[in-house]
Amino acid sequence: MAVIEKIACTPTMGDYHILTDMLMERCLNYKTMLCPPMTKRTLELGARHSPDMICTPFKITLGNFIEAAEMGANVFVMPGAGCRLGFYDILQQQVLSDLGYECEMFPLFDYIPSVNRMFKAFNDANPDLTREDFDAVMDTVVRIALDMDELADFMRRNIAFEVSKGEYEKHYKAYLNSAKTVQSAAEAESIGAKYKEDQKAIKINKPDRPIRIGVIGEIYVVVESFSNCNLEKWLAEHGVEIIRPFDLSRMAVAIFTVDEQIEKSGGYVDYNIGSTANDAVAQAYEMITGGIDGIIHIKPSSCSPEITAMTILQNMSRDHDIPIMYLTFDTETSEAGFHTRLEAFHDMIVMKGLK
Amino acid sequence: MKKAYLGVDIGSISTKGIVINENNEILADSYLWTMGNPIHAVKSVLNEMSDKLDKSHVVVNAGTTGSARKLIGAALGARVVKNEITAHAIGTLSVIPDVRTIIEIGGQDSKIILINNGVVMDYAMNTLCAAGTGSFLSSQAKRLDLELNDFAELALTSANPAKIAARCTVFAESDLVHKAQIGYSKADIVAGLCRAIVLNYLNNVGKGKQIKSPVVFQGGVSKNAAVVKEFENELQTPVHVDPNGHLMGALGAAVLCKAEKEETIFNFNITDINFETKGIECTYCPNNCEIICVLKNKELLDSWGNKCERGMAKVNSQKAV
Repeated sequence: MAVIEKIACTPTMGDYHILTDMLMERCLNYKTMLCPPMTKRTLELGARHSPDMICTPFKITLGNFIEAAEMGANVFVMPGAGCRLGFYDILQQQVLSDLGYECEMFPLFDYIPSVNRMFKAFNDANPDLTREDFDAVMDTVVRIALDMDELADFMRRNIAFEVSKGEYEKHYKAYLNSAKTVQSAAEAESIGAKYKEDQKAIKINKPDRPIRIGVIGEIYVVVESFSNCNLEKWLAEHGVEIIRPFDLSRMAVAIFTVDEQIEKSGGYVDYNIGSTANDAVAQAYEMITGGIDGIIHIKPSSCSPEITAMTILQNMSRDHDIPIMYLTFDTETSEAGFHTRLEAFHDMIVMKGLK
Repeated sequence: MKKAYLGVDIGSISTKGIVINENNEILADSYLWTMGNPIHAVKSVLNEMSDKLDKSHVVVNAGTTGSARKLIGAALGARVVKNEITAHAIGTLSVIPDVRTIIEIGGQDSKIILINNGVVMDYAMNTLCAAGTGSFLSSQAKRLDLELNDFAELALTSANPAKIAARCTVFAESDLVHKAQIGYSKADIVAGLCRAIVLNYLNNVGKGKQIKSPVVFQGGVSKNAAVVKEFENELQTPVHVDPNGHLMGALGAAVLCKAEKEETIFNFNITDINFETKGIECTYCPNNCEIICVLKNKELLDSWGNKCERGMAKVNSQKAV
């Protein structure tokens, strides 16, 4: 019987697929494939084959997988840990198999996130992989993750003020392209350092105290702009400095340091409220004490950890007089209502500043 | 010649127009049903106001708000195209400068605006669901075979409002049927419904917000005296309903026009011009963006709805039309 070539695909979540692609290629010798660009079709396909009450990340990533399977992908990467997200790979595989796609899922963790469990997942798929080789690839991947998050964070704070439009994004894409081919953590570090240096040289025209809006919430809708109707793009176009500390690097730390997040929440959280909701509260508190004009909290419909966080955030908003707007995303594609709310929120902050 | 400013608020149910002078005094106003045809409704509103308006005034700027603000803004050449939350806040502040809370319940949405020292501090809008809005009241009135106008009157006669689940329209309706079948009078059911609207609003839109007086209640539902009474009971504070409350969005748009640096004289004979809209689906990628084209006398005036740079319809391109 002919051996079927393994082609791995990671659902689109910002640009983080470059990290998993690197792991799949270098640790398992799999080929990797990009998901086709996300469109309304992705969403429709995913929603049609999903349980209606499940959260948006399930629907969109399933749409990603179906479109990728049509193009020949047969291994799908999912985290395999987190909230109920940790079980999505099992359900998605069932859906894909019902649809007639022969494929396997590759959960990075076995319910509990840890590097050891991750090594085990890779080692099971490729018994020849040594811990040493795996660690070397992981070191590179971690270095890139930290650098790309740092570059993206700096970009979010400044992109609204760039003198020649598009420069930050061009620079960021160039970084991602060079990062893809680095062979070691040391090489990744030197490329990262170079790009960070270049990024600081991009000309901006930034006021001393621009309007500053924080974005917090569930990691998938926070990171993946397709799922949040390009929220950050809208803010940048309206001259807003975007403070969004939540990214892969921060999440990786936050899930191992729940007690620390609780401590940083300004007394608003007493015990672990689940998943990354502790950190959502900690982030909001950090923003409020650091100087912020308003916060936008986003979540997929029916996300229970973030719903818990919302009730706490309401108190924080009242105590500190900082408006927090809550937006819920599902599979709707009409942006009109979303823009109305965003515009009103922005107007409110501008008018406050004028008084 | 005296300067005047036009504001138009095109909502899902009704279209409101207003013309003010430089002192925010109302020179003309009009209020008509949108009836699913915003362009026609605006033309009627403009015709009505043009007749009322003293000819010594010249409208030097126009503003639009409401859910059809973009479409009508393009058609009228409006300088101000503002979301309804900002417009309502600005309009209300120009009439009641010390207002602290604006409660607004319209046909399909409801919102709360919190104000301190004349500045909007926080706001919230209903999400996802139309429970607790005017359209729910009107559909239930129809079910009970009542005119909306008789609705409040009947509700006010009830001494014992039926308890009706307020969380969700669908459950409220089944609760309503149940209460009717076990023998509650129509008056008690209708009063219960008005109370349900208030509880739904406070639990969904007003949740977590501190409602301080003076409280102003606006939107179509504010015309229902029974709902007003329920709000006063629940909040334990007087709730102010302005007779011109329905015009506050339009007023806000007009007030915002005054701040514009440039002026474009607005001509009321715009009502003779033929405006058409056309929805096309872009076929360049599977996004199939719904592009709305506004045509003025068969010429493409504006288009929107496209998510990327490519897009099938652009002004100065003949492709779409």
